[in-house]
Amino acid sequence: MTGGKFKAAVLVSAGRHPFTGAPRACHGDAVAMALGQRLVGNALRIIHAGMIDEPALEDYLALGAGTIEVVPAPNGDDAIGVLTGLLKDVDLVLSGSRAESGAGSGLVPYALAKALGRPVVANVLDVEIEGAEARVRQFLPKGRRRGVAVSLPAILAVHPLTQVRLGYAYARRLSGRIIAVPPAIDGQLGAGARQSPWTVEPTSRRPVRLKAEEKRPAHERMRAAVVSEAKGGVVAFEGTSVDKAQVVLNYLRNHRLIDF
Amino acid sequence: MSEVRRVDPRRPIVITPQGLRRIVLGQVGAGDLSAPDPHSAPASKAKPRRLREKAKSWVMAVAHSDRGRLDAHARQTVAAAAILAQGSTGVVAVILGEFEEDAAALGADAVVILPDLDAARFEPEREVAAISSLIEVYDARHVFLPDKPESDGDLGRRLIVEHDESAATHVVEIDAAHVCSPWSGAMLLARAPLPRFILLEPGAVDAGLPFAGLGERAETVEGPKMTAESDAYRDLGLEESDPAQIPLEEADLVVAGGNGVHNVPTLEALARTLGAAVGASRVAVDDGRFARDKQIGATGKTVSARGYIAVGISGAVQHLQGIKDCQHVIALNRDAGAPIVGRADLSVIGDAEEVMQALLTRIAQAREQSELPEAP
Repeated sequence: MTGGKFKAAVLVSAGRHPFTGAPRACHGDAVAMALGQRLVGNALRIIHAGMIDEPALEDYLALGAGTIEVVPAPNGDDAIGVLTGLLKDVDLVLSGSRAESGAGSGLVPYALAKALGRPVVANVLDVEIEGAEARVRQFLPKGRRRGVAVSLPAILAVHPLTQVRLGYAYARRLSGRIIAVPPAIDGQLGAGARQSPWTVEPTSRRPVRLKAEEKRPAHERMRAAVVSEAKGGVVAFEGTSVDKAQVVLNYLRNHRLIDF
Repeated sequence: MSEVRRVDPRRPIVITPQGLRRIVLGQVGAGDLSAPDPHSAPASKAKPRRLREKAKSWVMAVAHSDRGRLDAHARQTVAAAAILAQGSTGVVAVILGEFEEDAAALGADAVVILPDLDAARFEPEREVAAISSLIEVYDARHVFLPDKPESDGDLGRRLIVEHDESAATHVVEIDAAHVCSPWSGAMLLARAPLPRFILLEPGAVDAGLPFAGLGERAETVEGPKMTAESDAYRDLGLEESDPAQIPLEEADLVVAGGNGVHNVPTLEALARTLGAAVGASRVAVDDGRFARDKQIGATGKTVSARGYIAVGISGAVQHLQGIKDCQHVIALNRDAGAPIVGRADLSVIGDAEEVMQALLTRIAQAREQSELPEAP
């Protein structure tokens, strides 16, 4: 730890509704903010790298942000450099798992961890601080969860399924404050920023699936089109119910659906 | 005599599973129903190899295995690497965890297995170190990973920032020159030239390949050793939750009951024994035999279990819709003509109650014989 009081911060991004594009709080970031507030209460710093007049930020105020610090990052690529300077003395940095606007690559926590030389854990459902380490409960599919202890300072990307209460209050939206903080100038600020390779297509369309080119004679293609393939698998008619049970058990074992 | 070509009414035909009579094109001669089905022949024919000689350069596909196998998403990733590898470029598949499949059928020309880095443990630093050294050894021009947030997506992002090179995540469209990812939600696509690291979304690639890889197995590699001090992460172990408690959508194995199940406790006992979640069809739910939140199908839940055991379910399309993502479907049914038999990988025709009872007895025996203590 960096000495003194335990410091935590959450990074919030400008959310966009996936279909209408309307500005809103990014759900993943709002969840991360609620998790952070559960951990340290109002001491949680809420930081946004971007424009100060971002309309989505008011949603975070309504969700209980209190004060949002906005550090200017004119284009997204500078965000890591700007945030690195700002988060040097913060013990625990929380973020959502991916942004809703732009690429939403989910790379920010990882890039930040690299820049700050800290460990990063993704898919965080819950976190407890125990001395110099954070005990994290990680989401895994199929109903499994994993415990991970990570040494502080650390960066955690919060899973959107984290159980938190998000309450929207208009009064908080009015009473909350958005303040600008000057970027902590690093010598090489902007040097690491790379030209974005992405060009956004103007109209929406369905993505084209990659398929291996198959050179088949016309006759075979015609036949494939005319004759539908025989569907269905093995059918067991014969035998007693014990035999049939054995067939089922064998199938389950062969495909490793059970582990005995 | 006129030159009009006549259609031989006794041309070769096949009877489709639906009972339709179909002419076999491109063949002449008398039709014979006992003749072998011409469509089964090409399937058994071995696919041609994509590479004729030794690979000169490499592209890499990295994925975690699940109990010795790759799932559909990981297969698509290896297939993408195989489709995009041109000329004498080889595909090296790096499998984290045990692997028992035929790598050639997946399109891989070489396969490197790291059995001690399976998905069960959280060791990101070792994984990144191992993959980075392999990328260097093979000098891989492109590295493909499935964008699974829990395992490979996490590893991929760590690799991307470690190497600080061009990368694309959530890739939904890919070809030899470019990739596309969704931009600001799912409405727009953004295009970029083919980067070095590519994290693929499921469904971006058709995993069916007309060719096979060489499938050469490199020696099993052990992950690099890490000293305890350098390790910022400590794995505290997995917690498995009771299959009856987890949401149906997350379940790995589901036992579902339908109208043919009269004794629900037997079905529940079977699910408990197999460590499976309980589901139901709409009819059984409407009948009050199961709770509403167990319903699977168009008006209920969509499950993506690896194993799905349908007991006494006829398999109406609305129900089949709910199980379209299930890998292995087993049907226990009295009626061999039920639509579920067409969907199931294994159908057992018989009385559901009897078969379930026999299965319960058989599993109890199997547990005793192998003397495994881990009964749930």
